[in-house]
This record gives sequence, C-alpha cells and structure tokens, in this order.
Amino acid sequence: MPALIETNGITKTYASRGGLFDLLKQKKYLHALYKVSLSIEKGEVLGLVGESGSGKSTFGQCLMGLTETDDGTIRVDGGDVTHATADQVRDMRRRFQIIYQDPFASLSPRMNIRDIICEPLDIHRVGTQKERTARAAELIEIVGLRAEHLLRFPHEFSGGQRQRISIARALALNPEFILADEAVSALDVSLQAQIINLLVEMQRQFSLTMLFITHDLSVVEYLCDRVAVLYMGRVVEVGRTKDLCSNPAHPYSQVLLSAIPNIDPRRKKKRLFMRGERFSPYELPETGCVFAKRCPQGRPECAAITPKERVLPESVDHRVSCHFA
Amino acid sequence: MNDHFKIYEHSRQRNVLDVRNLSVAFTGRKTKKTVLSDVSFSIRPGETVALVGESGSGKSVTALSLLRLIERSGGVISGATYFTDNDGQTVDILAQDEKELRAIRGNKISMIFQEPMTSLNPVLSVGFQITEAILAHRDVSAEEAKREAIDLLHKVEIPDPERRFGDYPQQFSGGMRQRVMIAMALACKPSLLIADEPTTALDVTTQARILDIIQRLKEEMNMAVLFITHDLGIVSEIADRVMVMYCGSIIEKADTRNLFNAPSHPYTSGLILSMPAVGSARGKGVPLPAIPGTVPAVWQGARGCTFSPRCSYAIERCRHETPLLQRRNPHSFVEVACHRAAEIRSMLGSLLPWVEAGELGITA
Ligand SMILES: Nc1ncnc2c1ncn2[C@@H]1O[C@H](COP(=O)(O)OP(=O)(O)OP(=O)(O)O)[C@@H](O)[C@H]1O
Ligand SMILES: Nc1ncnc2c1ncn2[C@@H]1O[C@H](COP(=O)(O)OP(=O)(O)OP(=O)(O)O)[C@@H](O)[C@H]1O
Ligand SMILES: [Mg+2]
Ligand SMILES: [Mg+2]
Repeated sequence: MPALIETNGITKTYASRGGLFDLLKQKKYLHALYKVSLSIEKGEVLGLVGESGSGKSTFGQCLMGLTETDDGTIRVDGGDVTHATADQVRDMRRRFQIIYQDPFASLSPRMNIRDIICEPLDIHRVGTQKERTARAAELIEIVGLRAEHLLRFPHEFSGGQRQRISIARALALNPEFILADEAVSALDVSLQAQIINLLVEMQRQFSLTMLFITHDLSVVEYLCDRVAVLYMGRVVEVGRTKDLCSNPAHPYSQVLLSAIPNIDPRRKKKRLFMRGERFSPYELPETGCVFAKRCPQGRPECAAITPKERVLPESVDHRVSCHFA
Repeated sequence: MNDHFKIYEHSRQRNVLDVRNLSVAFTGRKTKKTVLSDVSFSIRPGETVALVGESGSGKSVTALSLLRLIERSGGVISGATYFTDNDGQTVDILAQDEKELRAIRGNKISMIFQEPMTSLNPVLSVGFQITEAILAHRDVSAEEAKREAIDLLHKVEIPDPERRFGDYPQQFSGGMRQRVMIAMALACKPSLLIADEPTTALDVTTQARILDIIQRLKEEMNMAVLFITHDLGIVSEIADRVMVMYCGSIIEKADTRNLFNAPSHPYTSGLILSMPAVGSARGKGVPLPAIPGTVPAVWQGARGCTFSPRCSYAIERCRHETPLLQRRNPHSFVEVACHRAAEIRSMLGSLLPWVEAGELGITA
C-alpha cells in the first residue's frame, strides 16, 4: 500500500512566551516536534500516543496544513504539500477532516444539527440545499442517531451523541483522511466503547485513513494498525500495535503502558515511574537521548550520545530510538 | 473482609461524612425534575470511596450538593449531610448558613472539579490564586504562602514552578491547568477531598502521579476522599469501597474486591465489560461490549428499575416494580438494587475473563 501521508523530518519550534521579566532574559525555544518522520498508508489507522505536551496535536495540525513547519517535508499522495498553495490547502480541507476531543466546544451552540453537519458542504459548495439536507439525513443515521434529530440544537444532546454528530460532520465530504484528536478521551466508559466501535465501523465502511491521537494506550488496540510513541516532540518508538503493546521496546513506552490502570487483575503490572521531575521542554539538552534524564534505566552514555532510530531485529518494521532496547 | 467491616461498624460515629436520604430536584415553573433520589452513604476518615457511573447519572450533582453548591444553579436539596471535622465537631451541612459554609468550603472540605476553569480565574496569575487560597483560611505570612504555593505547584509536577508562578491559566495546557487546580484544593489540607473526575483530562503518566500524590497526601493528612470517576481502572487501584450510581440512585455498593470479582448488578457488570484493557483486545476491529443506549435525562416512569430499558436481564417485574437498595444477603455488606441479583450473580461473575469457574468464593 502506498503512503497517503508521509512526513520527513518535520520540525516545529516555538519561542518561549514568558511573563514581563522574561523579556529581559534570553528568549528560549522548544521543539514541539523534532525531526518527525512518519507515514500513514492508505486505509491504515496510525495511533499517536504520548504525554500531554509531547507534540501530538502539533503533529496533527501540521498534517492538516493548519500549522507551518520549520523544517522537513510533508507529502500527500507523493506530492509535496509542505508549503501548500491556497488551492492545495483548499483541496486538503476537503479531503482531510478533524474530530476533536471536546464535543461541547467544537459544535456551535446556535446552529441546529442539520446546519452543523452541512457546514462543510456549504463551505465547499457541494450539492444543492436539498441534496445537502438529504446527505445530513443519511449521515445522522449512519452514526446511530435519527433524522428527527436534525432540527435540534447541540445542548439537547449528551456528550456521546454530540461526538456522533461531530463524526457525521467529519464524514460529510467523503473525506479520505480523518484526524481524531483525543476523540474519545472526554467520553465515559460505555460511550467510549460505543464511539470506538462506531469509528472502527466507519473506518472499514469508508476505507478511511486515520491518525488517532490519544494519551490512553488502552484504546489503541481496538482501533489502530500501528502506533507511534512521541516524547518531547520525538518519535521514540513505532510499530504494529500488537508488537508495541505486548513488547514495548523503549523504556518510555514501557512507562506509559504500566501507568494505565488495568481492571484485569491478571494483567496488573508493577508500575514503572519516571525518574525525577518533569522538566521544562525549553531545557532540553543539546545532545543525548531526550528521555535520559527521566529514564528508569538511564545510563551515563544515554546523556552523551543521541540514539539513532533502528529497526528491531526479526520484527515487522518495529523501530525504536534507544541504545539499549 | 469481615474484620474490615467490623472496624467500619465500630467507628461509625466518627464518619467524616454521613449522608442520609439526599435528594435533589430542579423545579421549573410547572415542572419538577428529580435528579437525585434518596442517596445515603458514609465516609470514614482516611477512606477513599469511589462514586462511579456514566455521564448524566448524577455524580456531579451529588458532589455539588454535599457543599450545597448545587443551590446556586437552582437545585433544591432535601435529606441530611452530617460532616464531622478533625476536632470531632459534627454539623449538618444542610442546616448551615452561608457564612458557616464558607468556613467549611475549600478549607475543611475541598473540591476539585471536572473543568479546571470553573475554579481558576482567567485574569489572575495561578501563583496569586493559590497564595490567596492559602491566606484565606490560614494564618501564615505572604512569603510563606508563596513558598508553599511554589511547593504545591512542584508537587503536581508543573515544570519550572518559580518561573510559571506569575503565568495566567491560559498560558498553561489543559493538563497543567488541572494540576494547578489540584494544588489549590490541597492548599488547606482538608479533611475531606471531593474529587470530581480530576484526572479525566490528564495523560496516563501524569494521572498515575496525581493519583499517587492524592493517595500520599491522603495518608499524611488522614484525609478522606470521595473520588468521582467513570474510569473503573482508577477505581480498582485507589478505592476502598465503591458506589455505583445510575439515574440519580445508588444501585450497588461494595468493597472494591467484591465489585470487580463478583458484581451484583447487571449495570456494574456492563460497565466493567466495556472497559478497554491493554492486552484484552482480541485484535483491531473486534468490538468492545458496550452497554447500548444512554442514561435517560430524567426517569420518566414512576415505577420500575431505571436501568431496565437497557438491561438484557430485565423481566416483567423489573418494569413496574422499583428495586430497593438492600444487602445481598443478611451476612453481606454488599448492597444492590436489583430484583434478580441473587439469581444472576454467578452468571455476571462468569462473564469476567479473570474470574475462573468455581472461583466466585467472595461472599462477604
Ligand atoms: N501556539 C503555541 N505557542 C507556544 N507553544 C506552543 C504552542 N502550541 C503548542 N505549544 C507547545 O508545544 C508543545 C506540544 O504541544 P501539543 O499541543 O502538540 O501537545 P499534545 O501532545 O497535543 O498535548 P495534549 O495531550 O495536552 O493535548 C507543548 O510544550 C506546548 O506547550
Ligand atoms: N443545573 C441543572 N439544572 C437542571 N438539570 C441539571 C442541572 N445540573 C445537572 N442536571 C441534570 O442532572 C442529571 C445528573 O447530572 P450530573 O452532572 O450529576 O451527571 P454526572 O454523573 O456528573 O455526569 P458526567 O459524567 O457527564 O459529569 C443530568 O440529567 C443533568 O442534566
Ligand atoms: Mg493535544
Ligand atoms: Mg459530572
């Protein structure tokens, strides 16, 4: 399968925006993303996990053309869109759709459900008003609601129903690619299960390519073909979901997995904690492994030599950036 | 197990919180919507009690009623809520006036909300807000308060606390704001912490640390915790006892071990089964066993089990006779509101992949 989206060494840097006193000091920079190379094949679901601030949303924003990268290239269908023209952006806005975490904030309270679902069709001038309404009616049933809901307003729906509406809206333009940024994170257990099942069904039915961003590794197994683990803007490990979840190679992935509260007493594992305290992303060392300071297994050489990404022997493209994995 | 409950019985008079028949209704001009009915429970000092249930089941209304904050949005409370502070003084919170309440709120009973911006002021720096929280209830100097505030920010893992002290809430990520709020709630070392989904928006490693911090501070200060969550994974790790809420009523109460090995209510069992668990998925695309439907906004039927429309075990009786919360059997401390509890219990247990056949021996 060819890649639909491919990034090659993309980097995104932000300057510190401290208080007044910081103006007197030297400006500091952080790499929200640093040399990230990932590809998503057509019809594939790639999971992107990592702690808060690791750069997951920034990566999604870069793919969607919503944020400019500072370095590296982004290719869609093999074509370079790194510095997309207005036409390319417009084209991407149609083919790529986003589902956000917060179904309360992402739906305009003053629009009814029909108008919310049709908005992308309106923006891209697809079909007549009548056709758009028919499309909305079709979509609302696909996501498990009923046509009579179209004339209601967001506040009349529960969180799970609103997320169904966001999904219907994202599907309106028959997109090829969906970015789901923490799309199930705000939902409670039983709704989360329902929405995960719905996303899986939609992905199959429409052969969607997806980037599924989450901080919760426990859901990726139900949805993702492959998973990439981000730490401080760097991909530290990427591989098939099963391989990564059952045999995490990078110490950070191991920490992440062990932190998930598991109700299954057979699978309760000893929790691994990171060393020391969280440090500012502005204070990253110039050389060495980004995780060295907090790594439970960190050795002196980790801080000195930057690990190169390598493929684990006898694996299916299971890549890791650690000297000792 | 029995010893555990003997201690519980013995120390009943020292409960930090005793809630009796708490009901909450919202009244419109012509309508009356009861969202909480006859909720009773107690919490001992130093104990962690979890309140779980789906969105809309009434967890936040319960939390907000305990401090009577629900009255601000028009909720009418009935019942009684006895709070006993560390000095052994007992008051019925529902009988206190606003001034007395203010001495309790944020001081003896602290609350952390689901949404951090409800307790953070966007136009004041976070450092200032935490310092104010300390100064409002405690007799310390401004410098001391500032030092403590920085220490608290450090404890909740805000990087660079000295540098971030003067920053405004908007300058923090969602996850960080949540941590700032937790720091603020712990500022006065309360004897009861009500935590309403405090870690829901946090990533797992931070969540693990926060849970750890709450557990540690809880032990240090002999603080009791009412922990509201829909994440049963968290419940299994931190709670001593669990209350499962559905549609404004508690439908099961059990100690944590019993709940996860021998759930009594079909709703409890459904919640447990719909949890994604690492290593439990049978591959991509195999659906999670979700409970169909959602919590009804208001229970319309005057009679019957509120869960019956979604329950695959419901029989005719369930639809017209309301089950009461009662002990599973005379020797048990597990309470359940289900007509068929005795009949289906072993079946519910056998659905759990970790319960071996014939291992349903937990009976207390
Ligand atoms: N507009 C901005 N200006 C300055 N820094 C930013 C900006 N947007 C993001 N950052 C920083 O970039 C880093 C990555 O942020 P990003 O939002 O991508 O993380 P994330 O992995 O999505 O986190 P979360 O799980 O909290 O959503 C963080 O350190 C963040 O503070
Ligand atoms: N101020 C209010 N006025 C009217 N109804 C309300 C009010 N606050 C809550 N309710 C209703 O009370 C019920 C219980 O709501 P509550 O917020 O306690 O649920 P919850 O269990 O905390 O859910 P979540 O997990 O989504 O936080 C809901 O049906 C809700 O619509
Ligand atoms: Mg994000
Ligand atoms: Mg709530």
